Amino acid sequence: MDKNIKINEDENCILISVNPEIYPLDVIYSAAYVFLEKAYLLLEGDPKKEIIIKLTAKERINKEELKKIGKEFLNELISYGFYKKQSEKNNLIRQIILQRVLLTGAGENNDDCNSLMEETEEEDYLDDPKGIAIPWEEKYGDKKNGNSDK
Amino acid sequence: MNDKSKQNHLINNYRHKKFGNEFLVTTDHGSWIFLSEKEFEKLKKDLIEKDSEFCKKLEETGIIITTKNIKTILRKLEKRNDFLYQGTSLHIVIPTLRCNQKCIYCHASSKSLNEKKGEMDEETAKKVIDFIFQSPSEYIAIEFQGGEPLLNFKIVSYMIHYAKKLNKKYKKNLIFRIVSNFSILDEEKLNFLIKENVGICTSLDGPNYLHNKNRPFANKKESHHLVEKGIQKLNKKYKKNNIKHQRANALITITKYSLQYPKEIIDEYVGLGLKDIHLRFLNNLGDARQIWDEISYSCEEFMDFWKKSIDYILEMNKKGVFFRERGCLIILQKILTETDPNFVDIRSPCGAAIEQLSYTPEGDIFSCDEARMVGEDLFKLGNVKKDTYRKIISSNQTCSLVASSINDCQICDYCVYKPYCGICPVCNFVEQGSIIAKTLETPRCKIYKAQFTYLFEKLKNLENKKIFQDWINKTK
Amino acid sequence: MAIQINKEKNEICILLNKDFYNIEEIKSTLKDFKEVCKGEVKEKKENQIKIILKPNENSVINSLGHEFCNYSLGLMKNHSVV
Repeated sequence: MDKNIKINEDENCILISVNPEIYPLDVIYSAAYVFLEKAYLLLEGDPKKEIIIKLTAKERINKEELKKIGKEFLNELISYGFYKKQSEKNNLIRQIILQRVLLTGAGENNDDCNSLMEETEEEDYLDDPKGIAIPWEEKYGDKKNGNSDK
Repeated sequence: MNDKSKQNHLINNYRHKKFGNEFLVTTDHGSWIFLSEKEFEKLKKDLIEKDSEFCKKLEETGIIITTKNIKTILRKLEKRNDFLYQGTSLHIVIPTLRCNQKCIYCHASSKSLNEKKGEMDEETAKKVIDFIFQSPSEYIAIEFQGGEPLLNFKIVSYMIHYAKKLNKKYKKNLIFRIVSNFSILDEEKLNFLIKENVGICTSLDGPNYLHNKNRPFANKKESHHLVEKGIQKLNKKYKKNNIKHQRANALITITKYSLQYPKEIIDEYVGLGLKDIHLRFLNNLGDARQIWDEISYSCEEFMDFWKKSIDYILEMNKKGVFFRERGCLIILQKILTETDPNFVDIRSPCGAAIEQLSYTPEGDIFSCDEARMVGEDLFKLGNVKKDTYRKIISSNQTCSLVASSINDCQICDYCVYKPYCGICPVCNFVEQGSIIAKTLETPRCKIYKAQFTYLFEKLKNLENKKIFQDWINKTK
Repeated sequence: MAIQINKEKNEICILLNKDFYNIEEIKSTLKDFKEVCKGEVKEKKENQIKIILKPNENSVINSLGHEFCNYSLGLMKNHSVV
């Protein structure tokens, strides 16, 4: 991990190298935003190969404190990277909730919201469009070589 | 070997946690069950025989989905999210930021009595009420806070009258509440508030030595005796006028000084005839920020205090004294009933804008009262003089705030307490500088996890469960 | 060096990578900083954006470049996860 961090005590800064395949740019922006109050940040490098974030502390600090800021930044990357993955996974739930909030707030008789209403309510759950209520055996048949994957 | 021909179910999406030799299993629709290690293994491997006792137990709780219970599961899920269909019901109005007290932790950063700015005028007050009635919610609660709201009593009374006048047209279920320090609650104001059916709440931090330390007057004089007098006077008036549905309520703020006095604090509340207390972790807002090191405490210290308090309250109930802790009550309602108690602090999404709005004396609209105390533009949604309710609710800002507290998109999605819990974007912002935080590091997460664990343990005892059920029944 | 300060000319020259900074956000930053400095933005070759700032007061010359870059980065928030 330490090879990703280069400390420059004279300039009171730290250079963090990030692999954009692991932490995409939008995640880096989110992490950077958290540090704008305590440091000056600059982004450099190649968005496809290696992104360099230069963090210059606003106050004069020592090497250990600079290292700590660098590691905190890496933690923020993980935090936002996870948030991005989790949001993508449950994006539909978030969409449905926000649509419902807008519909309630804007008034259900509002013409502008009719398309949203149709989108969220086109499937009647009683008809079981996703086949949740169908017994496993009926749905997947009697496969002798099948695994009960979970 | 797992014989699928004997099954007619699907395993519902569940989360789990080890509790000693057992496993607590919960589902998104709020159901829960304790399983032995053996049973949990069976669940994990789906070795659930049709018509077995185990199968029936899982079907009853909805841990497995069958044709018999799917409608119930979906109904419960819908009911838990009912609030999304309601619109903003709680409106916190700040008629003034002036206050005659100088509480050491004042979250509102109240202003001195001599401050000329920061008073709501009639024009703004009217526009606030007009705005409130644009909410589609059939329930409207208007709550006056401050500062000390009675210092601008003229506007408080104007707003109550105007709201009632408007309500003749809108016919909503309209209620009023006021949070006051009682120091200027004279006969005239008291009679007015009782006549207009305004729920009255004060702040009481415990016995006089605690309360006076936390909440002195601006001139450094003691305030406890006035709160005590006010509560007694209020309850006497309600009794005299045969008003049974109202009683004096009080809120407590726990500082480091409170931690050694759990019993004394509870006894003070019981002694004054108060029926409940809400023991909440101190927020790092307003004036509290300046003396945070002096008055704050660790999560562990708070939980130690909290557990001692709850144990004491439970013992009291076992001896026939009815007294509740409101935080527990809220959590228990979520665990033991199908209805969300609508406590917006722990809900997904939280109440920001969609359930609660806060209005400053200038008519600025904030997403909630804590957001108003932080004062950042991030949480300022608009102003009553130029914005409509629809515009505020459908703004990108509101959507971002709502989205940030949907716990499906956070690490919470893996937590056994997820169905009962929620995120506060304001707390996240204050602690970590962003509305999206590293949730596991927040005091809120640590404390709520500890509280849920404690209560689930307590629920295993039938006597405790009966007491808790009694608490819930007396809320209805 | 991304930020070069010329105290004699009372000028700050900033070079930002176009892959990470949006020229529209930089122009927006200039607008928001108009009480503090004057400036101009030029798109250069090699994927760079050049910004010349002339602070209204000499006292801010040491920190202005950094603050400007931070503000521009803050405006990139629309491109972030949150």
